[in-house]
Amino acid sequence: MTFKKLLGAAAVSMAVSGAAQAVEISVTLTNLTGGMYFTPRLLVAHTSAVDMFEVGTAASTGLATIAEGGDTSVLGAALDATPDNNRHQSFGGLLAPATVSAVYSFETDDHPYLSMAAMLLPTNDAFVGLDSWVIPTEPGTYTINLNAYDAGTEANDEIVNGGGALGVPGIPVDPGGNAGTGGTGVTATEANNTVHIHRGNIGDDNPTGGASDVSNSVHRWLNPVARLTVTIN
Amino acid sequence: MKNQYTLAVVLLGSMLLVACGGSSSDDNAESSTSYEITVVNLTNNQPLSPVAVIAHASDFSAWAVGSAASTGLEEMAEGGDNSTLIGAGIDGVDAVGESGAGPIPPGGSETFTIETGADTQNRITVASMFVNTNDAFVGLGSVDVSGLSSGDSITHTAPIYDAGTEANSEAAGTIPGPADGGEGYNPARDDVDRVFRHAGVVSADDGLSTSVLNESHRFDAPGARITITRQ
Repeated sequence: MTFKKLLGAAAVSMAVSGAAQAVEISVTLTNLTGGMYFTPRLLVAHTSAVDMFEVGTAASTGLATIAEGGDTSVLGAALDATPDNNRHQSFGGLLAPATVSAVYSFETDDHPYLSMAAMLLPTNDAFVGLDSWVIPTEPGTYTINLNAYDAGTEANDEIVNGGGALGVPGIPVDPGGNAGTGGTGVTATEANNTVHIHRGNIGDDNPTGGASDVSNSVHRWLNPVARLTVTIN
Repeated sequence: MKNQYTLAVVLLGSMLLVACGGSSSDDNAESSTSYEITVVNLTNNQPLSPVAVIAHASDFSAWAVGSAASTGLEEMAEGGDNSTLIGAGIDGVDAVGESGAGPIPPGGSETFTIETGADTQNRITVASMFVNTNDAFVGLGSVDVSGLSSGDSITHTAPIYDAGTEANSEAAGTIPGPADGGEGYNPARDDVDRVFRHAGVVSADDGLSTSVLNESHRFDAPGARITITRQ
């Protein structure tokens, strides 16, 4: 049974750290892209009762709020309703392209799974995500490559218009200042309304027109877009 | 042709360095280990520049995502010339460098050996430019070969990095490979100046009207398959 395994895992952790219940991990996120910014990262340690996102399943309102505007508070509040099955924390400000975050210390409260989400800017509703990774009990440093997902909640029109609120079309901002204006919109529809692997920005080479406001030579990416390094003490 | 000249210069540079790598490893003959390196080019139309291989101690890394590229890495990633990366770039480092004999065409492969200079040199780094780009390179950093016995091998597919030292303009005159025959290394750094994962080339066929590249030059990861076999 999973529960018995968890007890065993907890025993190992306590033997190593000498701390009952408290299991502190260190987490570092590397932005592997050359032109995309990450919004503040919501880290969640949780039981199997929590699923931050699931490919092929519609995003929760909280996840959509992260993916469309980088706001972690709605999902945070939803998680607060069931405090016994998770512990969550939002870390950092914007993480610039090709940079490594600070080392975050994160108290898991002995929950067995780790999930994370942060929006990619400039996009309509792309996020970098970690879905229910089993936190190892063996001390060591673990590296996980993360992909970019599309929340499936907003059409990828690629128009930078400040639209970051839930349900508002458009892209809030390009923090790097490489976005254009005057785009007519790449699309007005979203074919897949579940969480799925993002197809990437298409962009264009016209800073004052064309279909897209994002640049095809700056704002594209290939997976993986991030590397998460987790150290278990 | 201009591009052939560029590649010929690159090739000559690498061959000179081959001799250097060989002689330095002779100094510690009793503690040397040979590793056979096989690189397969997995791309559609991106020839690989002569492959750079470095055997080094665990405290060295040839690049890190988020950190600025060394001059040697920039020279290789922009112009295909690995001579500094495996030469002056590792002076004073517990490492030896070796080069493949020449460019590897798409679908091609090359096998060559590197002989370490000390038992501590049990990490292998492999890198090579995608020559039809501004500054893309395929690479495997710091593969731990300390657990290999004679005859054992490790195979990895390798991701594609952007040296971050030259903007990905794809413009005529900026790409040294046969797609353009343009400039290779230029010491100016007009990109983010940090290594990152490459986003792929755009090409004129996919909306970058000033690009000299076409659809055939596009790529996705992984860019190469690399096998390391302890001799």
